Amino acid sequence: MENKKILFVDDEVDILRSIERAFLEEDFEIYFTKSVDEAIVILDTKDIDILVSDMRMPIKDGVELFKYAKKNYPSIPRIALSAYTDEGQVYRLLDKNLIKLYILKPWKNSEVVDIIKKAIALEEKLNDKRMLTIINNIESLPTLPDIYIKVNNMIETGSGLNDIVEEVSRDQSISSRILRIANSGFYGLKTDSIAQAVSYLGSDILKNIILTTQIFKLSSSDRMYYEMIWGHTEIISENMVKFVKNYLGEKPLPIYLSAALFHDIGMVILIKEFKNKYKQILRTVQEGNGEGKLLELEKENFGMTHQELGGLLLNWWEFPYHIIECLMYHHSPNNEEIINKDLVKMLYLCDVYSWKNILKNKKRKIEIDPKVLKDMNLTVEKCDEIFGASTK
Amino acid sequence: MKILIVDDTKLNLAFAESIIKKYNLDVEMVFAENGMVALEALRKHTINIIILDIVMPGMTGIEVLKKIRSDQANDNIRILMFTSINDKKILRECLESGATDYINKPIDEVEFVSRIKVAIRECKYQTKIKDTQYFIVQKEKLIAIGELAAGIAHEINNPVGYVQSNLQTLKKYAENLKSISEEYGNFSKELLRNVEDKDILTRIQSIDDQKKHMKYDFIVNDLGELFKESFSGLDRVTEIVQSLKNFARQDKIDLIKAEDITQIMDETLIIAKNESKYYVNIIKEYQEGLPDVECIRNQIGQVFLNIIVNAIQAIKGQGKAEKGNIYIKIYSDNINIMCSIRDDGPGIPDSMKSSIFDPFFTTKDVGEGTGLGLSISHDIIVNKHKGEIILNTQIGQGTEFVIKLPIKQKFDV
Repeated sequence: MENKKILFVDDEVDILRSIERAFLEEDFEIYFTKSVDEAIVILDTKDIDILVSDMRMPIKDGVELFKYAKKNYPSIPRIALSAYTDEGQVYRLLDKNLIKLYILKPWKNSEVVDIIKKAIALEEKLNDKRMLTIINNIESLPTLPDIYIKVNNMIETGSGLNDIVEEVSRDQSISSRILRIANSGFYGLKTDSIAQAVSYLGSDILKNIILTTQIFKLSSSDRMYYEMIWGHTEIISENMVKFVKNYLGEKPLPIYLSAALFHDIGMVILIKEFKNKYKQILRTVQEGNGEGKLLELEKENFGMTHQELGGLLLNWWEFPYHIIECLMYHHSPNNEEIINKDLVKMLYLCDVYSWKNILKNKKRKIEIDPKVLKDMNLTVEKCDEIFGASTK
Repeated sequence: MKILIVDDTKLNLAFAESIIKKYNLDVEMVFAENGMVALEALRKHTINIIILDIVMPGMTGIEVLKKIRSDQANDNIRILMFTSINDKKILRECLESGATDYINKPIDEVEFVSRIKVAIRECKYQTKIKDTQYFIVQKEKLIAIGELAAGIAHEINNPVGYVQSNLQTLKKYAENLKSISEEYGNFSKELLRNVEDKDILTRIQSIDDQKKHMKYDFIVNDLGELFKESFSGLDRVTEIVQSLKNFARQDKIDLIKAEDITQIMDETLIIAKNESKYYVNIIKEYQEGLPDVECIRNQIGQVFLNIIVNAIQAIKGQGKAEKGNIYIKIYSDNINIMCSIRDDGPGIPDSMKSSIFDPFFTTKDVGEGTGLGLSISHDIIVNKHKGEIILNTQIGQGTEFVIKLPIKQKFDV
């Protein structure tokens, strides 16, 4: 197989040289440049597979380069190599889907090499021909909803908050969803004003709410599943808040909410596409055959799992790896290929505990993967305490 | 609070005393029957309020007033002119020369008491304003550092980034070179045994001599340590950048929980043990049945550690033959919990007292401390926990820090 081509951009030559040394023994074809303009020329002329760039550079910065790459070469994964000390700044780039991944300076050589390799493996998985064929045959595969595209345009052209609020207020289900999320434990706002909620949530989360609300719309006969998936999503996002606040001692980041919102999108599409056949599988599993069984049955019947389907779809829509991995691995958090292990494990725990909340009175026993507990330095008792607490 | 009453008429002094006692005013009294005695009393005591007679033999009240006001150290003293003559002209001169207020003679009980009460209240406010000012300045300093830190951290992370990366590469190179060189070494030993060509043998001998000369064996053995120390140095840089960032960071919320303070103290002592065991005895005295305190556990631990390590280093710095002592006392009045950490080290000179909580103030050698420990501690206790951190110190006697923490936190949500 041909060597992958990686382009590294940093205004400090010393950084580039140290990276060159770090990749000395690896089979990649590597390009280096210290200017964004030159990087653009390389992108235009060479068949680059991965773009890694510094953020803060003179004249033109990383944001500009990533915007150019996203517009012209959307399939090239964009990775930030940043000296920001505040991860929040990098997360904002993820929220805007401007980058797929980030690496912080100072770095460990072996980790950087490892991350690049995993990114390549993930890309291969997401572009697997067999899977893409299956996906292309799914008739009810959602395209980006009109209202999503419209609001996205409004945000990008700098329309005022009022116009955006007016637009989303026209849709009953979207506006009620916005209010529910703003008033949930995740944001803890107390408001009945869409304008206030929207200004509080910010445009990135607003877009994701619109997207999920539109895609989750099911025919009235499937109302029950719609309620179930939304209820499940809401509990997960509450669980995320509990975990982040009570265990990590941090404020929840918007990306966590996005991960919760999208994580079962594959299921929704399977319900839409395969209707009774899929519902039958869901019922079988619910009657007590465990989650591993669900993935097995999905694979057997449709050639792919709801995890893979969701991951591929969000990759198509250019979401960052953080969210894609959450979708692809939330039932298999110990997979070796995961880049952002902590986030996936966190979603896994929140997911497990959401079922625990839903099935409180039922007999179905919930087991927590012991390796996840060990990796996160947790015990079942500690988890019970974290998720049992209120969000206040 | 101390009040100095100056009057040449004994009767007036006695009357003033009786009224102050009668109304239970919260002041200590000092008396003077003329200007000279008054100025002397001012040197001996810390006076907050002066009641000053205008007409006196020797120095007049105005002269005394002007003398007091000529010294900036007395700026905060409130001076009330004690005046029997209703001469507005003299009174005006007094007020222009720095008198705060006046009291009429003969003494009218109600007027006398209320004017003193006002003076007392004003003094209290003044102290409060001064304290607040100090805290605000302290806080502003920290915020400024936080903002600066974010910028500096970004700048530091770039060079640290490639230095660290290069060092990892260098280590790999060195290991490769080492193993190749070892193989050559083994090969040359084989040659020594099996080859008889004289030229080759002298060449090998000369290489071995060179090796000895440049301390080849030592170098090879030292490589591991060399890298270890360099990596740990870089880790320290990263750590300092991190700790600077803590001033600015808003993304972390720390968990406030009811904690057992003695447990936090014990854990801290275990961490400090490594530093302490050769130099100090630790004497603990915990009041029984202490209530849990609402606080951020690791922050309080950090404060304890900063103070204890400082104490150990102060004692160690004296270079005495016998061990020093650190007395730790934790007690409570059911509203606050007090943690006293007292050492019998060298004490802190007056000249440094006011700056020990300043960021980057350090007496340690370059590289030994960041000079941030106590300013971070101050921020944690005063700003984050609404507590107090009190310093008592005397040269040659030792130093005591008392950390006062409210048991219940009132948080502005």
